[in-house]
Amino acid sequence: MITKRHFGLVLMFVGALGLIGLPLFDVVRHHAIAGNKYQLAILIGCALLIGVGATLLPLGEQPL
Amino acid sequence: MKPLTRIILGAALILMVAHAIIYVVFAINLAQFPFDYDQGEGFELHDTVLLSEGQWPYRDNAVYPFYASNYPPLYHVLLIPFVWLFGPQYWYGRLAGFAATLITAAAIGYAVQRATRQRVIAALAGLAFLASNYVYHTSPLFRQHATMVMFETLAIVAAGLMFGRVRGPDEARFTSPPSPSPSSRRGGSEPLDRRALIIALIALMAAGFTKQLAVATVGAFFAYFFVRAPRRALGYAIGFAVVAGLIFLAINVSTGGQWWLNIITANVNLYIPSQFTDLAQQFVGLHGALLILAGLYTLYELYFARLSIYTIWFAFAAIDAVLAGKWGAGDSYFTTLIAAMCILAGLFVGHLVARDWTIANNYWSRAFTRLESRARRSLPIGLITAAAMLMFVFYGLAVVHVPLNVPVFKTVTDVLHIQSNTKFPAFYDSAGWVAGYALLGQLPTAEDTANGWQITEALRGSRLVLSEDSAFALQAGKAIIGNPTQLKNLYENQHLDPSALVAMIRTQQFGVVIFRAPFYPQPVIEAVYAAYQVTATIPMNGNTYQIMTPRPGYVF
Repeated sequence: MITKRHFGLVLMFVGALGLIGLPLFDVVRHHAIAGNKYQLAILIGCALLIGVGATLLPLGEQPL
Repeated sequence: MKPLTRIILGAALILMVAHAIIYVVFAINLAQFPFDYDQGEGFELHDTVLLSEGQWPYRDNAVYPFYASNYPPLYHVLLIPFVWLFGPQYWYGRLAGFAATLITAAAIGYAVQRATRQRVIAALAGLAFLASNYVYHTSPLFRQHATMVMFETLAIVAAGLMFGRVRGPDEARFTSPPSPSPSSRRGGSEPLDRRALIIALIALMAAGFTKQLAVATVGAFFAYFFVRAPRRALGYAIGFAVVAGLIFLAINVSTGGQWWLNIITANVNLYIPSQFTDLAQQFVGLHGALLILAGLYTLYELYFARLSIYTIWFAFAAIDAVLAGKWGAGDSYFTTLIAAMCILAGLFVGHLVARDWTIANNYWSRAFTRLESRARRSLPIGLITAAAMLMFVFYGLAVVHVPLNVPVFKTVTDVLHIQSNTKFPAFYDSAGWVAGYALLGQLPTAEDTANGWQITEALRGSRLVLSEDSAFALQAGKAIIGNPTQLKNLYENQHLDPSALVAMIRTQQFGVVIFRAPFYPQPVIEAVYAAYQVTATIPMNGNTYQIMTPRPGYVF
């Protein structure tokens, strides 16, 4: 059974992937995050995903 | 329901019914217009004609007649009997789009009614879909988008019937969400309504072969299926992919690979981030009131109940809407999201009225209950219900769009001091305009029709014509040559050599060339302006058509 905890973990994983991956991608491509509103929006979105995921973890075994 | 809530509900209903009347008047009026209203309609009509003659519209764009379609065929296939009966006409394709939106609205209403048992709220949710500016001006056209959204919605509503019983209003407010069955706890799956599943799969397949954009709804469906019954979902997903893949492969083989080139490669266009962000801002400005309700319902399911197919669809449709930033895309890409949003908003208000929320016992609900006991009062549900319904009123006021040249509408808009704010003298649209938002919605006038016939007359004497809107060539009984946006997309992706078309232009083989934007690849545009001269400019539907004839003495 897929639970809310599973979903929370998935959200946190995706968020972390974006949070770490985007700046790395940025360094490789020699772009600056500062001043690029789209990249900033993606980073904020990733942080939100981690936040929402974290609030789902205590819901434990409740089915998604 | 309290009197205040009833009054607000009445106001919301009046607004939604008014929007529906405007939509019906627009659709019926538009069905009678015999030329392209939206660029590309005529090419879709031509696709239907080709299919009715047993020919694929997926061809080599580099050779005469330089024509191919960039859409899957189902919408056109459905219209084939009309071609056989009535010949190439616009009205049946436009009425099909209109009917598709009515079916979508009915399906939205059914989903809300079934889950909440609130008929009036269900009607409100369905009508809210028809009230959207985006649905209004992009649906009753000879285009396949509305039909895709219809199939998507039918698939999702059928998917909503796949698992378990839907709660009725008799169930308690503070109950746990439906427990998974023992087999589910062991990692198995919940009981499945196979008939609903089959209907959903067929509708999904139909949506995908109507327009490629439906892939997000396919993803939403299998994500939901996976959450409820992982093993079965994987099995059905593989089966679905195999069937879809075989159909895809069969068409690709029978068209010599042109299917892949024209519906996949040609749709990989330049992405314009500002087009998406501008459209997203406009979308939120118009639909924000219902988006709030949909967002609240999503949070409710996430923390207090189980995720429904509608919420998952809402999330997938929101991601899909990002594609609205593609060159050639536009506000219609939000239509699926609007359908999902209307269902969630309807469910939120419906459950508020029915007071049949399911609240799981978790840290959120316990904190909530403690808060209530400390305040020594329950939540003012009546007030919250009234506020939620007020959101429908706000939505109804935000999406106002009205043709000002219809007698009854004119009387009302005069009283309300509503005047044209668009480039059309008799059309008000609260949406304003941003890049990607289709400039449509006005009723075509008698002058537009007369000018359309004037353009048609201009090309009757020519053997070959190159026209950016194919309506004139269709009406004059000429061959349809070139699909400009398709040629442009392929050329810019380095998949088209336009030299054969350019050579025909340079040798002035076309008696008349008609430009509107122009949308052709740059070498074609340059060749036309070199070899042809503008002999007339004729306005129609807010666009200016350049009628060009061979430039005397031109030698390449």
